[in-house]
Amino acid sequence: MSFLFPAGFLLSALALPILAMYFLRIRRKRVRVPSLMLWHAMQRSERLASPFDKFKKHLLLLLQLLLLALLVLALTRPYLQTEASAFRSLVLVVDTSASMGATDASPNRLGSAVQRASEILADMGPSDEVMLIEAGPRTEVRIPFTRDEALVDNALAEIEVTDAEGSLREGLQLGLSLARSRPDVEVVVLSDGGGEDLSSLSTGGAKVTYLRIGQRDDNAGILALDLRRSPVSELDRQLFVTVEHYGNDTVDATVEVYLDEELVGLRNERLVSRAPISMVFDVDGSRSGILRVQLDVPGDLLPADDTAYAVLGAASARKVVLVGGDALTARVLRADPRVDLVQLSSATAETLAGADAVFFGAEVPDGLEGLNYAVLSSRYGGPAELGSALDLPRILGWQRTHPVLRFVDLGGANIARAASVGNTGGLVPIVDGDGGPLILAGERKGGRVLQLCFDPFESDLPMRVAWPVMLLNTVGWLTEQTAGSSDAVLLPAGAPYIRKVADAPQGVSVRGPDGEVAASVNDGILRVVDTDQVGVYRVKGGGLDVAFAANLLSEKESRIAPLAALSLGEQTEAVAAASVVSGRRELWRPLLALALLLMVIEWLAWNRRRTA
Amino acid sequence: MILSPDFLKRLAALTLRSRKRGAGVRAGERRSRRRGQSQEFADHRPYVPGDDLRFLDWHLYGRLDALWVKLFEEEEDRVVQVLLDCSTSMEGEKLEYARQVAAALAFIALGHNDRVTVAGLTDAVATYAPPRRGRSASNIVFRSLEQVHPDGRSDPARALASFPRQRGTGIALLFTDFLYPEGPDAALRQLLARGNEVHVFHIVAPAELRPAVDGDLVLVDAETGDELAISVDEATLDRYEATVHAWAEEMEITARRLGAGYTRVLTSTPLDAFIFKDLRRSGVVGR
Repeated sequence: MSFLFPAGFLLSALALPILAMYFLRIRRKRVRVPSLMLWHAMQRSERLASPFDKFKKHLLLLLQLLLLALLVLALTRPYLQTEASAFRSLVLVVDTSASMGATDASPNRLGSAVQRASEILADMGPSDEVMLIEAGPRTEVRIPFTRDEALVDNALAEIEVTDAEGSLREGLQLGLSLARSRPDVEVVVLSDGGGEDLSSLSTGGAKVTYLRIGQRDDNAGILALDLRRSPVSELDRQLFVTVEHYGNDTVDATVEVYLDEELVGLRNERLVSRAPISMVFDVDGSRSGILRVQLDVPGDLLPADDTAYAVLGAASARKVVLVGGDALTARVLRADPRVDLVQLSSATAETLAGADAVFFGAEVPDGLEGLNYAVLSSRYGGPAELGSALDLPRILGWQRTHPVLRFVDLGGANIARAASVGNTGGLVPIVDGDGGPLILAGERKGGRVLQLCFDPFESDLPMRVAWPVMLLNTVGWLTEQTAGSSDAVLLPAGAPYIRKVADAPQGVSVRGPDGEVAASVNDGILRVVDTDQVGVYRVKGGGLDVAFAANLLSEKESRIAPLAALSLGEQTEAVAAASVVSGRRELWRPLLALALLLMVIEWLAWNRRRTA
Repeated sequence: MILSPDFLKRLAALTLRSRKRGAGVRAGERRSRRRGQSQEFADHRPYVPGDDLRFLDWHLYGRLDALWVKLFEEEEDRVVQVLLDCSTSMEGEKLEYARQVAAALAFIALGHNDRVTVAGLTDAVATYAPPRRGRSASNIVFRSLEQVHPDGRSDPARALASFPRQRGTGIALLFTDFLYPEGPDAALRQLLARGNEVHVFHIVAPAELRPAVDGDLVLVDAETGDELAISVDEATLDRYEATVHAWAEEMEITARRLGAGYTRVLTSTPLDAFIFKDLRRSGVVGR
């Protein structure tokens, strides 16, 4: 047996005051008796009859000394070395993804994982070192290798479960890569499996132990949520909800839709195991507010996927600026009732601030971060680098599912000349020709951008129905995330919210479901990273008053059945039922328990003596 | 006055009984083994020249024609030695009770012409009143008893060594609590060696059987001033009580073994009941 804190033995000196107090504590009453002869005789006979009576007389003192001995011993933290390993490194990878919020462990899976981690820490040797990695929506080294157990314990206590999809793979990968520098290293994964393919991960010689957290799979969740314009009415909206049950039995579910906590939709469904059910709710587009979808299933283990939110903005005109441009384009845009068109001959980034979407029929200025815009000709520049001219490029194909190309038929369209694309500038081709991309689209610097790699007036496109349809689709796509637009801003929980802010950034504040959320503003771009909780986030200041919703909507997290084993590249680790981390076995807990028992006995003895 | 006049009147009807016939020096009311000149006929024996012709039994001479002399019991007085242990341990109710019993027995003895002497014993003879005879000496004897005060350590054997030897033999009434480490052996042997009939009155206070004490105490010996730190609880008191009983029995056995009479009395016993019932039943007094 060894001791972590041998200096604790110095406290044994407390026995002296205890002894002194015991023998001096009582101011004994003096009683005059005729003779001590018989008292002495009694004591002599006592000694002869029962040598233990003397012991009994000082029982309380003995118990107190024994109690002190136990407490001192516990303080010295004695331990038994259960393995010969003198020095080890331990990497704790704690899964904080949404599925760890399942309540089939107490208080939830993460709580159970933290407890297991604490037990492992308690068994660590004095020279062992430990690292703590949190594998949630973001992978983070919470505590680098340290021998300070208290530091790790504190960090464990601060870890919270998120409502977001996590990546155990990233956490484990980080842990393994950091573990490579250590010779005798063990990576302990405290997770329910994560639902990811880990077979390509290389352990690099490190021992990986998977401590399975959780047992059951009874969970139903909201898998998908979308708010779209009603096909019937321009102003009305439709809410699409998909729910699925992952348990083995069939359950009765209730789906309720609230608009600003007023019930606006209700559906009762019987959910069969692993059979998703989609449903549509009509929403009055003239109203704005927070839509909350609540799934209620008896015995549901994971609350994070039972609620989803959407922000419903009142339908209003979108401010669209046409810089330069031709009369046909202006006419098409003006024809859209959603569009409030402003025409400018030329513009700078400053003059365009506040526009929901900009169509460039003229030179594109610099500094358009966060702005949604479309460049309508290869002649006006844009994010993609365009090079030499290509004659008579043929359209090979287009992404029919892309919002810009919905109901757009480009078959048979002729283009006289296009520009070759050197660098797409972060955009992706949505229309491909035989000489390269013809139309690029994508998100760039906080805004959506569409760029044509040809001049439409060197094609017959304006003569086709496809042209106005594509222009109006572009308006819809560019303004999809705009405040006040008809389409809700829906983010996966944990994903960053990025958008341009016009004014000075000082006043921007973001309030999440649990209070103020950190936000950063750099170069006029607002970034809200901490969106781990499901709920509505409201951004105020910097010229903005917008809200966005973060939802889990993750099949991976809703499917909470824990994996029996992790399949790694070189090693398959089975589930360990108990703490597998070998090392030292500290004895202070049983010693303290014994001391407590002794205190009870001492109290009983004292009480008995007092009332006898 | 130690005893009330009414009580004394009742005592007058009692006699102090002796388990053996002792030898006195003056004619008293007690029959002696020695043949003498009292009125109590004892026996005949053949006349030998020199015998007092007054004691010739002439009736026998007339019938038997032989000279026989009548022998009479000689009635002698006795010395009743009232010995009070007056060590500090007897202080209080024990000495008071002993004093009353002693006064009652002395009064009875004086009423029957016994000589009564009173002594207070510690480790020496603390007080001594020479023998007195007759009822008229009652008050003197009572005063002598009242003058006995508790003080000093007990060692009756040592005290008796310096006790004046009495002429003749008699009864020694020893009132003591036996609380001395030397034990009663030596003292009793001394008294018995002087030809006395010895009767011991073991005076016990009820508080001595089971003291009303509890908790952590320092017990102080009243005689020696010695101290004993002790934690007293019910179990301790039980053991102490058992020790006292065993010790008292040992005292009785010792006294009886040596040929002394033994009477144990609790000071809570009413005096009346003790004298007229207990002592009569045990044969110490009679009518």
